[in-house]
Amino acid sequence: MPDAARSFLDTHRALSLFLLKMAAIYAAWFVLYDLWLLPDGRLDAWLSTSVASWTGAVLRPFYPGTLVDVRTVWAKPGIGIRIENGCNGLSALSLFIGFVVAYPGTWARRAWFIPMGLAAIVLTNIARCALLLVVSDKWPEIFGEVHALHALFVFYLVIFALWVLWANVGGSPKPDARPPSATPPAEPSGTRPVLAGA
Amino acid sequence: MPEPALARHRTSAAQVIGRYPRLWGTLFMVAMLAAYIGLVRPARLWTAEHVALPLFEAVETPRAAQYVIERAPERPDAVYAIPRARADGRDPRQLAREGGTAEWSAPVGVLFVLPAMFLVFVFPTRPFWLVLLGYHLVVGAVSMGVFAVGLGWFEPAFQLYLFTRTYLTESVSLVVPLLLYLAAKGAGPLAPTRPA
Repeated sequence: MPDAARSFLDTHRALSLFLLKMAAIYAAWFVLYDLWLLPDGRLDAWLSTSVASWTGAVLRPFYPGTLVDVRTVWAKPGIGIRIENGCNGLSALSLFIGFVVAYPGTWARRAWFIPMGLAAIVLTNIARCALLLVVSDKWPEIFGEVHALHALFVFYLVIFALWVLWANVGGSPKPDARPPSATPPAEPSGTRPVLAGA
Repeated sequence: MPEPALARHRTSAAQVIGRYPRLWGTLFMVAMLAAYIGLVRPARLWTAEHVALPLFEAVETPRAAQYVIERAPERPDAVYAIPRARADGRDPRQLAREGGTAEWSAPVGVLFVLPAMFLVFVFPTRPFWLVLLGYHLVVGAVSMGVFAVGLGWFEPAFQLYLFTRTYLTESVSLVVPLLLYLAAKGAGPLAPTRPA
């Protein structure tokens, strides 16, 4: 192993371990999903129909005629969305879990944080789907843009916020094993980083 | 020895920004978004049309002959490799959703601009966003090659491409800003310890 790589691993052992674990978890999930879960279809179908059903429940007070037909939610005749596999939030859920499992923390805290995070992401997706239906009804001309951009922004903001939260509340199973590392990036005095303050 | 002019300007710029970091961070963030809409998005469309499409069409192997290379008007930053047997004139996006159709999309998309905006806001004097841009450009170039390999020679390369453009890029794009943010705050178990 080159000296530079050895030196990096020695001084950033925890960081290297975290990155390797994260890459391994995502690779394992990707293979598992691609080879088994996607062809099987049941997990995607269950999540999509659940999101459709919950979206319908959210919309009903505002659109009394809301109908849910398996994966499709109709706010009114001609105004509907279909929750495809790629829209059910499964990849966002796995992205969230992969980080929480890989990043140092105690399993006791993971036991409540993972369900909480999953619920937050699913709720976000339900809100997104409901919003898309409202946009489809009121401003159909911008539906495509909202679908393509807004969804990603919202998903990644929520996942990022959850990751930051986990990094702060996850705890450390081996607090004494913290490796020495490089000096943190300095900022001009008075800078107080604010998460997604924008 | 006299201080080089560039270093002197850099220091004074950092001092000016350091007085009002949130204001400058917000301005940089807006500038980043404007640059993304005005420059990066057109560049992505140009890349799809003038780089990726000709490259994929130039792959001439028995395997590549089984595919039709198309673009979708509603998704101009993407190029689709549709199995010839399934190319029936329908929207390539729909075919991709149904499976069997491979989709290549230009790099430096939302997964770049969102974390980059965060980075310029939190670190207005540090060009960390350039690191992220470099990552996206490198992955974009490599992924174009991997997609071409999948198209012309080796089916699993499509899966490798998909993994690179989804989980790998998503995690790197979010983890890099997160780790920098935590390092700046000195928070979390991976945060570097400050020298005593």
